[in-house]
Amino acid sequence: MEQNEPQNCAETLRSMRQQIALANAQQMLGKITVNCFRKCIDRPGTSLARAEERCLVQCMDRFMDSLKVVSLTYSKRLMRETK
Amino acid sequence: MSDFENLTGNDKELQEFLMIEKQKAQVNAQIHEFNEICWEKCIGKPSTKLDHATETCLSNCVDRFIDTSLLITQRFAQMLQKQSSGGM
Repeated sequence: MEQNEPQNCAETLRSMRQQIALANAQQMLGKITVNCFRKCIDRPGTSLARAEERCLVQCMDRFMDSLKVVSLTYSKRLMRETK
Repeated sequence: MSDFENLTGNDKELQEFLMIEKQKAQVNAQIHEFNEICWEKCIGKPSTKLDHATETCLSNCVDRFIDTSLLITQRFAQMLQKQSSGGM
């Protein structure tokens, strides 16, 4: 019954948006972890070497740069295709 | 009367919200798929920034991947057409 009130609906939507944003962030971090582990750690040692740490940091930044380029290209292409 | 209006309004809003979020999620999934494929193709060892050549590679990669997908889909449609007309 209380769900029918406008305030509760807005609250529900807001909380869902938050959950979706959190899930998206977790998904992205998972992909960064897998891809950068592949790129930066050749032979796993007994701890992360300094060079490996530096690579991981750069890799994370480059991965997010790459996401930006890919997103932009994709949205441009979508606009071209739906004309 | 007003309770009934609220029910319909909220349900509609929720339905629209879910549809938009579902579409956003699909676009997001596509972007991640492209990025993983093109990341492998275009980036060797990660450096201090994305140089112009790498950006171009990434951009071309997305377009070529979409072209590839379209080509394969079209060819498959042709194959299905040939099959059905041959069977007749």
